[in-house]
Amino acid sequence: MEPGAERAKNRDRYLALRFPHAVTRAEQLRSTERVLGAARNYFDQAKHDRCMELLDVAIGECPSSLPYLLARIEYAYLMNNEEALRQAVSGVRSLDPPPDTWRRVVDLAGRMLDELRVAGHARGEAQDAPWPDMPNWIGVSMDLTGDAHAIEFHRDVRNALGGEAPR
Amino acid sequence: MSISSAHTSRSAEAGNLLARIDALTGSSADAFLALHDDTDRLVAGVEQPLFASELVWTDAELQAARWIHEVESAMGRAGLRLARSGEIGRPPRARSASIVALAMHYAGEAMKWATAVGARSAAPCATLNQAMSAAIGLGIAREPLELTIARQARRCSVESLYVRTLLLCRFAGGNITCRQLEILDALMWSWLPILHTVPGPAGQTLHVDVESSDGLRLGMADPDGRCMHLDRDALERAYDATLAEFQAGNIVPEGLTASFPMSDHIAALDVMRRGLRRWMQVPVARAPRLQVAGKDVELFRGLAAVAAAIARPRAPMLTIDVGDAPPALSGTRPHRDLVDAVYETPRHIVQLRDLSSSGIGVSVSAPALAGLTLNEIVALRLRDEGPLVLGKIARVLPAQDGRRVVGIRRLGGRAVLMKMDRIDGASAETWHLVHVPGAEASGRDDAYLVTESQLRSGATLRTEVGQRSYDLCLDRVRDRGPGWVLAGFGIRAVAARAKECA
Repeated sequence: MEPGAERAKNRDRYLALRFPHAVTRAEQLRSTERVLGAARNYFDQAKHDRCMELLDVAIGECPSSLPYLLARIEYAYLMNNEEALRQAVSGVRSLDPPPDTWRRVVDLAGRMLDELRVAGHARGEAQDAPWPDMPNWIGVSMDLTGDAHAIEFHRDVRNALGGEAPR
Repeated sequence: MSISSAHTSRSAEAGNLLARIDALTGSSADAFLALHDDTDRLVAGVEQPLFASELVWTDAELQAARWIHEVESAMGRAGLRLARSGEIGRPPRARSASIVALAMHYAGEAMKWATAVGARSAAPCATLNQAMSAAIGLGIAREPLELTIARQARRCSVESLYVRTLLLCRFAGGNITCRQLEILDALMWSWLPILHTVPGPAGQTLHVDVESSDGLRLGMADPDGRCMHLDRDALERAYDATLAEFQAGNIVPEGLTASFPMSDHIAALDVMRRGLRRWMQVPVARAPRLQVAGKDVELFRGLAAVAAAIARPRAPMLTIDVGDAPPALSGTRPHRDLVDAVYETPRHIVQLRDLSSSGIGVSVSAPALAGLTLNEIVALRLRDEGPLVLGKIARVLPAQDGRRVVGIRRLGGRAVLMKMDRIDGASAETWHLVHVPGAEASGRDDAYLVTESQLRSGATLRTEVGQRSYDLCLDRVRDRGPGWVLAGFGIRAVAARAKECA
């Protein structure tokens, strides 16, 4: 097998084992919906490393994809990971994003990164609120119906078992 | 060449080697260096085929692994004995440094093979520390060396091999297999230039006190500056670079481990990642274990058997009393109910050894172990009238009397079988899926045990629970193994359950 083909095969094997069901081939990294959905699932399951690694490989595949970089900024903020946040901000800056988008990046990242605050970038009004106005670049559903249904379902199954605790 | 033939053809030489190592005294440094050449050559010939074997080694393979462990332990002990004697104070410096470095190397090798053969030898941290302390005193700890190890010339130092062995001690526990440990070791060999100690950094560190009998410890830097600290930043950079190679499709490092399955590489990288990330966190204590006195229980293996066991009443109404055959003889027990009488369903009887909130240890006879694979889905009943406990095979270790100890990691809570109707129009099917509840009351950890094809189908399923009917889609993988997936799901719709006609 050609070295390039061997490498591509190894890469697909790695992706399929590392991100089962979410990504099985490198070309699937170009699907924003698929990648952001899978990253959200990993974050929901507290698999933070897996979430960030998926975004990293997706950014490696599509270096000029603003949605991936913005999602990385929001996850880095939620994980309180300054280093990842700094890298993602630098990546977004290099893409010369629209002014509104850049202002929101600074609003959010400036809460954690001194250099953005000190550099005198515009600070959004939300900055002074106890919780920032999250931009939702990670694509969280604002509809909480599914969460409510999941609680009901868990409770109904538990009741059907005679109220026995899951463990 | 097979393991047995490789081992048999060398058995005379191998037996002689052990006798020669045992005969070493505290002043036979040159003999030790000569023995290293023979040991390296003989061990390399035996160990490579062992890594190609599947989960359960044959008796010949186990015998070969035990021989390697014995030889390398003996070399490690002999080297450390020499390192603590006055012998290494004699010039030339490179010779002295080589002896201590080889002692460190063999102590690390013995640690790896102890994990492989299930030997529970204590980590030789006290003697390693004494040897390192002696090397520091003589000023040879960072002396650049070139040693032939695993038939390759390697650049190293006493300090780098000391750090490598301490890291192996730290990683050689839990569920790690010998292949995964070998991958970790291969990574550490490729990182040898950065395996050194640095002055106490700020924050949490992994450090060792060479004047103590302890290995690497996690905690804040010591105030009196006695400890040697690992270079965390360099190790994290090396880990990130390795991960980037895998993401690009390059299996690193090159060599024997490059041919190991990708799943072993990923597991080894996970162990390393957890070890490095833990630097930043408070360590988590292992769940306490409760020893159980060898109670016999039935082990259900595979998705179909697990689902059938959940569906089956706990106490079969129609039974044939055939008595209890000694499970140690056959590993299986004769059929006891009419269904088994017709279909000859084999029963796998295992002995409980210990329990914890996260896992179960059982002792299994060799015949019952046949065909068992890592990550296989299993279930067992801890109490006669209790619910089935789901788990996956996490580890297999040799034990006494030819039996094996199998570590089972628990999955979720009390599993139930649920009837699900497929309603997405693709086909009118009814599935019976194992529902595995999570501990979270929000339901975020609930899952179903399904096959790969069921998950891939993207089916919308309807089930009725209590007074409601739920439509759900299996849409994420929480865990998986051969022939099964623990799939998370999203609820698409809820409706009041239709009332049945009178």
